[in-house]
Amino acid sequence: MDIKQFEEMIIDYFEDNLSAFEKSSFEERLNNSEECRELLEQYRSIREVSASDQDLTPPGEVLERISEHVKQSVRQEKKSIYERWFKFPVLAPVFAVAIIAMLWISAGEDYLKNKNILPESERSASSEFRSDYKASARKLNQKVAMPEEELQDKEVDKVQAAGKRERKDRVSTSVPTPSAFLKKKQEYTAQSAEGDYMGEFASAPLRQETENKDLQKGVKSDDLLTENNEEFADLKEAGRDNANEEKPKYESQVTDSDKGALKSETVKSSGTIGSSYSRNATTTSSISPSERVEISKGYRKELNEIVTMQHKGDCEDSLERSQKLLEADPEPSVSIKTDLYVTQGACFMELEQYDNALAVYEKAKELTPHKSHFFNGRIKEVYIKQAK
Amino acid sequence: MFGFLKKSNITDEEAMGKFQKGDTKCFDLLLGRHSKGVYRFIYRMVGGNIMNAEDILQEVFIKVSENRMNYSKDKKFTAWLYRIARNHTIDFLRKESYRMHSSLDKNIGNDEGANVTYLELVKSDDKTQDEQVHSNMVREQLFEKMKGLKDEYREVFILREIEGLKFDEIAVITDSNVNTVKSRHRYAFKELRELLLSTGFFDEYKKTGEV
Repeated sequence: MDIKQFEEMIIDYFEDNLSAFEKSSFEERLNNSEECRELLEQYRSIREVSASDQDLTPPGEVLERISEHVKQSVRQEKKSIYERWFKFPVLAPVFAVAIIAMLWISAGEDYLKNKNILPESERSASSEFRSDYKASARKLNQKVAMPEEELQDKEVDKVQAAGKRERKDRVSTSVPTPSAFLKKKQEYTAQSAEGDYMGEFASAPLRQETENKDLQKGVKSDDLLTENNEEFADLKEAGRDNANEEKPKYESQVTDSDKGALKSETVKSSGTIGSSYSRNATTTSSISPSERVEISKGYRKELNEIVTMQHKGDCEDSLERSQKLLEADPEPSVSIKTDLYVTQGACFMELEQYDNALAVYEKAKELTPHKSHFFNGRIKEVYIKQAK
Repeated sequence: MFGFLKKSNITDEEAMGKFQKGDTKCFDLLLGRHSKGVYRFIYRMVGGNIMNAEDILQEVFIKVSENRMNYSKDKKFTAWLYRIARNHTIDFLRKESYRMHSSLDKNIGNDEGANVTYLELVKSDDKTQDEQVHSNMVREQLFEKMKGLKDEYREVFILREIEGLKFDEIAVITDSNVNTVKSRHRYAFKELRELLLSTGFFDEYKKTGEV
């Protein structure tokens, strides 16, 4: 056994993983070689010193903070569940009445159908309505549950949350009630008979309404509108099936014009996604969640380049580009801004512009007060260097 | 705060099960049991930066809370927890990639004999001040050199030698197989020894026995 083989076996010797034969030859070598004994001692000392690193403890205040945060979030989760169902007990009887009414209507309809009391046309209309309505509701639910795994950082999470809220709202606004649906269907049938096929389903009022809501929430999304149109297209589809028999010649016109409308919306919503962060203020308002994600990715990429420049000692360019990014529209996320300030701080330190370094660390501290202990450390460092 | 909870006989997996049902005392129990080990791991992985280590520790346990429903009782809690900690730390190292400059808890200087941190200096236990300073010096020499190891060697070394986890647990945490973990562990030792040879670490270590 040479010294290399011996070294290979040291860890297994410590771990007691050697066979009886290997162990005896290892020990024989150990007894006969001073070099091997020294090697073993060196390994042992590394092991012992590492194992002695036990008195490192996280500060109690950090643990308290974590514990408090978790308690609060669990409390909030519980509260939100209870609130949803029990905050307004007055709604309970309303729900109960609504459910009973729905059951009664459904049972009554089946009864009439079974007894052949409803005329043939209405019978088919009601069953069509139910299947169409269910199908469109199912499609909407699928969209609500659509996973968006690629969204990564906090900024993205916020956008995602906003998007989910939007969708929830859409579910409640864009799915018509059964009676409204029937009414629309009747109107639609009447309009299609007159040739005004697109009358109701051009959905301009709906779009306007959704747009207003989006604007109120500060998020306007053309993608959402497009989706809305698609959802409504399902309802349209239902009506169209019905109209096919009566007015087949309108079918192609409607489909084409409809597609055209959708296309133009999609074109409007696309554009310079993430290609540049210097967007005009006028375009900012029409950024969709997916665009925001792309922009955020672009910002991160730029941030990485700025950091690399700072690493390479190209502090002036790094400062210039970081300032540009800080002033970019739409505004970068808090985490990106903080990272930019930290990089600027490092640049100013490198350039020995300590006052500027202090100023940017202060800004970063203001931006992320929960990390103030970190920036206080940096500020102390600046003072020490300044004093030197 | 957490001391009395440590004595509880409940296993980590049971505690996690109760926490999934909303029992936050069980979270405190787990925090009390594991925060020290996880903190040590993170601290050594990020090269001894206290602020970063505290931040990551906080993120890890908040993640544990947020993802508690994804935990299934048949998994070993320690492996699950350290996996989260490891992923967060590796993410941090990749993102920051040593962007964060040295801070106050860094070594006071590179002169021989001054290779000790402010924090380590002010710590004291039942050892005398001299003994403490000397053994801290030796330890810091080791951890200073440990920064030179590749991340994948360093994490295995820390999890095995400092945290005392088993190789199969480390394999789960690092998402690799046991043989890979064992060979990384061997390489870590080999490289660390080579790095330490020039520092006089082994001579200093012998002296700690003499002090």
